[in-house]
Amino acid sequence: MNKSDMDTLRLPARIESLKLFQDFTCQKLKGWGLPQALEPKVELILEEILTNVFNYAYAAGTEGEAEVGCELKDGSLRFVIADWGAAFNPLESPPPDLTDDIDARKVGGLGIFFVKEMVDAIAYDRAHDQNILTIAIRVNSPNT
Amino acid sequence: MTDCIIREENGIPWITPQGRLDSMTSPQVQQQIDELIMAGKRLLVADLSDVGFVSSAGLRIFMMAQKQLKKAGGEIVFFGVSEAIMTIFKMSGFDSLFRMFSTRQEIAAALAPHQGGQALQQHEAGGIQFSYVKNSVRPGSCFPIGSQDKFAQSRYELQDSIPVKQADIQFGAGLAAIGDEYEDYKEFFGEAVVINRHFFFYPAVKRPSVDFILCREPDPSMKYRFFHGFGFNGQCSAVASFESMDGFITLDNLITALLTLTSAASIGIVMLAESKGLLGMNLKKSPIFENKPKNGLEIFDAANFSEWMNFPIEPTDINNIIAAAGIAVRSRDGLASKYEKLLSKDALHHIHGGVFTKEPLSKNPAQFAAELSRVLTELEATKVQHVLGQSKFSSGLVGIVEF
Repeated sequence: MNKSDMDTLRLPARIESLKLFQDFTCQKLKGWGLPQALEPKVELILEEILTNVFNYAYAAGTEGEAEVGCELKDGSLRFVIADWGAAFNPLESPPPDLTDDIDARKVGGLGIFFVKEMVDAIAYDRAHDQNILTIAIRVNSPNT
Repeated sequence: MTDCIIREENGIPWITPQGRLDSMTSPQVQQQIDELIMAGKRLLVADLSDVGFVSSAGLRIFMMAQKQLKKAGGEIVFFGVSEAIMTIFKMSGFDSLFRMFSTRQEIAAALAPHQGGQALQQHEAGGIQFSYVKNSVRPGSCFPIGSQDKFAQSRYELQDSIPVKQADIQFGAGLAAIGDEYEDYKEFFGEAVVINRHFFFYPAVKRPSVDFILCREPDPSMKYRFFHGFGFNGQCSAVASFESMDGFITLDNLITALLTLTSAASIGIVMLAESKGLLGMNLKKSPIFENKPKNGLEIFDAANFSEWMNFPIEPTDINNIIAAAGIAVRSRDGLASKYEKLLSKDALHHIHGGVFTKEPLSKNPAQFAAELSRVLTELEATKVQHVLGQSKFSSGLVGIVEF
């Protein structure tokens, strides 16, 4: 969970920051020469995780921050997404039941389910009063 | 910013979001879909040809639309879903919740009006488009309950409370209450409506809320208590959907036009409609002897009226579903005295309606029974009122019982 050698961006936890986080990350991907096809996937992951943080980490009316760090190491793209809000492990939320019909089907819960489906590893940690989500995606990078 | 273009093809709106459907842009698209559904659209095509990115926020709006539309006998389908988005759709199980098409011909064939079952006939009268099915059934019957004689003076007493067995009344309207002991329910008489034996009434008290008895199986011991009103039983000789061709439809105009679908001189009406401004009346006090005005004047007298009647000047309950039942006659000339007594002076109809939640309604006459059951047993009623002729509606479903 060491973020010290990662490039990070910390911004207010609100929806307006989403695009800045996505742009920051995509710039990194470009810098590392990763295929452009990876960008929509990374943008989707960030949106699903961060909108959860923006909506639920901090009590309504209170300001908080979110931080995104990323690095490319040993053929894996690694993201660390942190907030200083109430303890919450998104990985514990139950997956939607895809066999339900339209009436019974729950409208929520798809976002984190997508993320789990799309990444190679995901882990949650609560440390130093932070929720820390670490995500890894294997890539065939020209640099590794 | 996503632009969402809406265009119509063969009367079906195509929603064509541009670019991304994510947490930033989805609220806008959702609002446009909601407006289409509220405007009465039941079939929608979401054309995703120009969408390159969908997040769960985007998926959510389609799921919510499909939940609403399916309940109302409608559907949202997809067109032009790219391979990348299809991957997300499959991951989310969307392929079993939505139909997806890749050519216009497929859509046209799939969404054409259903030919199976009984064919719908079209009829136009008074600027209203009807699609209807006729059934050959025996005439129904209408029966008066109690009397209005003691109403204006608020002189009803124990012996005026007429028990009507749930099993004996299929439809009806009047001034009624529920309870076992007169002393316990006498203060609660208010506007009531009976539809498929379900009973809804609006107690005439200070802060009323609708009280109701639902009927799954007729309960032999269940009785509704009426001071006055009427009931009618029978099967619908015609079930129609109606829709305004221009502007909104007043209840008066709707009834005049409905009478062109039948040759009967008097009919029972059962209706589900989307309100565009209800003008309804309800009593504010139970018209019992104990409450009779001290000034000796009638409750309808100007001196007493506002204390007794809730009579709004402005239309209310826009977009709510109104579930109503009542009677209508073609003319007052030569009218049987039985009906004469059930209609107020000069009126050609007497209809009570329950005001239910704002939700889309099916427009398919074949689903009338299911829609009635859904509205009455699943949605919440906020009022029951005597519906006045200038109340406005956009569209709905209506059944006619010929007497």
